[in-house]
Amino acid sequence: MSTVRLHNVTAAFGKRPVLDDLSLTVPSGGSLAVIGPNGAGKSTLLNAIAGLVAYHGEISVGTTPMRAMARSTRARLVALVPQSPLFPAGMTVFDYVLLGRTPHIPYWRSEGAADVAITRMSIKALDLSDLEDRSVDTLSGGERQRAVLARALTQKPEVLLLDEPTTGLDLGHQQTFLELVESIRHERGTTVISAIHDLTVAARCAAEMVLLSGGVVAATGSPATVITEDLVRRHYGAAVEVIATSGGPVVVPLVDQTTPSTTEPTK
Amino acid sequence: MIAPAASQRLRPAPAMAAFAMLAVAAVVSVITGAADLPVRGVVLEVVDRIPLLEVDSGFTARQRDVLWQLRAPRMVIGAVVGAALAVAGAAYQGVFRNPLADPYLLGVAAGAGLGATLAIITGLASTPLLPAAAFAGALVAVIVTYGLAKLGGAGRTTATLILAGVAVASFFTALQTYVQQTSSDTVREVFAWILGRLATFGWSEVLLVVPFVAVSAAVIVAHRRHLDVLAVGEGEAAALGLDVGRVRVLVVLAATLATAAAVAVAGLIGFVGIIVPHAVRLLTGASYRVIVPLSLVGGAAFLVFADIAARTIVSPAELPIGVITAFFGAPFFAMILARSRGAG
Repeated sequence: MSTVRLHNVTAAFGKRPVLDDLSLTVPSGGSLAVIGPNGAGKSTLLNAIAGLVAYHGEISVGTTPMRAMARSTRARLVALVPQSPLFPAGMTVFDYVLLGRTPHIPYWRSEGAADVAITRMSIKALDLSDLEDRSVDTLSGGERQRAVLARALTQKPEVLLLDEPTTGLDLGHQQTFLELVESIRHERGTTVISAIHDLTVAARCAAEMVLLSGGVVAATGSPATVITEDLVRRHYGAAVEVIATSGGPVVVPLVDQTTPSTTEPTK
Repeated sequence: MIAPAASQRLRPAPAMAAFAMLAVAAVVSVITGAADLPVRGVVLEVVDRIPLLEVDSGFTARQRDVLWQLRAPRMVIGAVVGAALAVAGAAYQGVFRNPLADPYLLGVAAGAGLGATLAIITGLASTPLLPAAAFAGALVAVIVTYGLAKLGGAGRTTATLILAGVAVASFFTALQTYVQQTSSDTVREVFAWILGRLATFGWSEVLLVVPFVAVSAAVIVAHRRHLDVLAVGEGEAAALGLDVGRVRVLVVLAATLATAAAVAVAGLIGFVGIIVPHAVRLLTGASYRVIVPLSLVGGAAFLVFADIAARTIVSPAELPIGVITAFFGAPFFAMILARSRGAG
């Protein structure tokens, strides 16, 4: 089915290696959260799976290697919710979501009734029906993120890649968004791989995690095994306290309050 | 069957309005001039041309000649050139994701001008090699402009591409002027042409450009959906399965060919590619599915109207048509510049 396999994947940005001989497997219908400090290679990993960056090694979905795939075939299999999507001025929500049908429409043709129907279903699923005729650039942050997810669903992908999907959303919208993704995964059996900055959020949204650091897998497993005070200190250079809760580990930054501030007036 | 969302599809009303404008422009254009041609006679003449229909327009042989050998070809060439420049402008704006892209401002028209001048001084005027030479020049210009803008690199903004275009246009215009001055016997011919003109020698020039413009317009219209996909940027478009390189090459080639054909018969007419697509955008929305076809028809109507103005304002003399388009185009350009700054 849609098991995602990366085998000895190496990618470079210019001369700087970003992914270094990386191998990992996400089972079909599974959910993987990718965490790691800035520049660890999280976005590059997702972009490599989406076919947007060149790489050595092999990435496959199911039994098919991605490299040999035509762009449109790949986009029918894998949808990416990018980190900072562009929202063209004046484009309606309907037209924006319809863009997800691009890989399904033959090059010289326009969309058919089936494409329109699928677009409507995605719009409905993400509760955007009332906003259908609004311009995407006038939406709120939460609405925008739902529009991007609706576009990705319209691709009818087997694998959904989310690059920092909750950045810029408030707590309530973060929660709603992640619940939406979970319900989609359960309903459609979509494999979900998300790069997530916030460790506590990451711990709650996937049963499996990978900690990337310097382009290699530093730790992998359940949130409790990946998010530890020791690993966070080593790879993020941050002092934290990890509190185990029923919903997974919670990361609390430790701010050293014994060091006197230099701006404090001296007596 | 579910109807597509109405908002961004080409609806009948704006399409009919554009065609109605073109029809009015066409009629006014052929009845305007020194010799008096009544509207009724013109309509009957057109009906008479329809196979199997025969009506008497009451026109004299001279009136018939004025209509069919002077005014009609001029009106048609204006419509074809206007359609070509407007659709090329819309295409460049979509491909470069730049609201200020225009055949004239990108230097494409100047490149075509140089190519065409070289063709004219070597005696190739009014042969199919004229548009071919214009196309070669235009293609070099668009490649150099794009390359220069890319060199501008990191902080690539709307302005970078246009600045590159201005540099390329100046350079090609300088070369063109040099070539023109060093071949003085054809200098008058080239000079009249470089300011933009629609005076024709009958139908031969119409036949020369129509095939090129028809092919380019067909390619651009066929890509209107892809231009909407490109609006989300190169990376996202690629992630959506679009072959970005193929779309870019095909659309830029088509727009450049349309520009070259227009320049080959009408010289340098600026701003049509800015005015028309943006007027359409303001009236109907941002989707290229609407902008491309409406620019085609609207561009035809606009240039026919501009030609009427060029012929009547200082009658019996004529203004170069490029003066009229620049007169409307410059304020438009300023407005778009202000808006795109606001959008960041």
